Amino acid sequence: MNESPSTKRLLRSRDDRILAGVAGGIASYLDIDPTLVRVGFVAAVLFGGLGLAAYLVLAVVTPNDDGSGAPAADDRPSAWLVVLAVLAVLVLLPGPFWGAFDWWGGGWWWGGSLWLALLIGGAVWLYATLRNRNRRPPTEPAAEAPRQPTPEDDQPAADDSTAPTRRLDDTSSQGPAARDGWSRLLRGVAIAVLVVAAACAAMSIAAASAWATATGHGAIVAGVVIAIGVALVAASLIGESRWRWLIVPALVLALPAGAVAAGDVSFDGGIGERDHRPTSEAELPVDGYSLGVGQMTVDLRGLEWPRDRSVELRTDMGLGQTVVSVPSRVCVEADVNASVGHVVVRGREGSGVDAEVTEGPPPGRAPRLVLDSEIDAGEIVVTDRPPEVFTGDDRGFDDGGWHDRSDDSDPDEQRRQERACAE
Amino acid sequence: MRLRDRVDLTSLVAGAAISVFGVLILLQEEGTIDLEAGWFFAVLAAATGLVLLASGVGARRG
Repeated sequence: MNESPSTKRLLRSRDDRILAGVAGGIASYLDIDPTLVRVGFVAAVLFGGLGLAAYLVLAVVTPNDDGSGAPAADDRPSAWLVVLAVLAVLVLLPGPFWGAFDWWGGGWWWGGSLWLALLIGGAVWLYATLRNRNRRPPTEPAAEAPRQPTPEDDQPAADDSTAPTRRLDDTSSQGPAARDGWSRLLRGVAIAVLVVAAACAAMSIAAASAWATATGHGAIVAGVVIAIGVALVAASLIGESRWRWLIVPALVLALPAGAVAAGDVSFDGGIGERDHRPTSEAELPVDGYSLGVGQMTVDLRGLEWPRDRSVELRTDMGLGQTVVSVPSRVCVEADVNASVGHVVVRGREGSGVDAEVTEGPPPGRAPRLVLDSEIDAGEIVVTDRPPEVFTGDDRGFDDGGWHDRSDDSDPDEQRRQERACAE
Repeated sequence: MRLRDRVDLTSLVAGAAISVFGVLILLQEEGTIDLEAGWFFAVLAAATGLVLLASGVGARRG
């Protein structure tokens, strides 16, 4: 079967190429901006490496453009490219289907990346198809020869046995307009899907950047940002303005990482719920208790409190809630700080940015807790009530409705603290 | 063509600003500097202004 000259083929672009010309070729084939295709590939790379595998496979199977829109003669992919593509397919692509990869993101991440890639690809294909269809000149009316008036035209319509057929033909002449309406609608939907997918991708990358920085891998993010910046500078010096699109992924990476680094947010220490109930001073860790994200309770009501010295405790949390419960007879000397959030220490509260409550050293010889507690974002509560009152696990516990009040200051507990400290 | 005429000013300034930003994040992470949130947003605003300025100058230069 001969290929008609008007048939469009997917080729690797010869003139618009940065690596192998795949993105430029796809853009030419779909008649869209190549920057969009490149952004799509980069986003897909960050989502489980799918973009990398797709790019390599396309670089192998797609012939080069000879400059006239036809495949170049004797065009064979290099051996290393084939090896890389095979490796990429074997290593990267099974992830979404196995779903059990815990490295580089975990199963849900892989699955999500596959669906996101399919969504973006489908939307691009739909957009390009509809746009090409709309651009095609209407051929049907032009193909029809103008009909000469005949004597039958003067006959009444009732006598015209072909009238129904003609009416059908008439509706077909209105077809392109109706199809245009549908095309516009579908194209709008495709653009909306693309925008949503791009926003999802950007948010996921931003979240990954913030997470990496908060878990102590900010240097890697910083390295990628610096590399992008250097690439932009290098491109600018050779007069390349096509690389400006790199500004977007650089900002998506740098802004959350910078905010997390400047805010000293740290998620070291794991994720989840921690419930500590030490019964002796020896059980208290020297470095204190720490948790990255979640809820941590330290119940000291069962601790044997020495009278001759203070018990020192340190807690550190990234995001969540810390609740420290002490017996009401214990005097609390506290330095409690939340970078963003809310703190309550024995009935005294603070909230907002850099929320802080400091209780000075007690004058008496009461059992004493010297507490140094920090949280990046969330709530710290130091109380003589059971921790369940504040952790949401207090079904059936009667506290007289105290914790349901909008004002978290508690004069009764403040008095109990003053009494304990005066002993 | 002279280098000055060939350079894409917007990419140059944006690249330099992004590099500086990356270096600041790196130093902050390594504990060499202690940049507070206020400084972070000030640097961000200044970088955005510089890039916009460069974009404008580049457009005028044609």
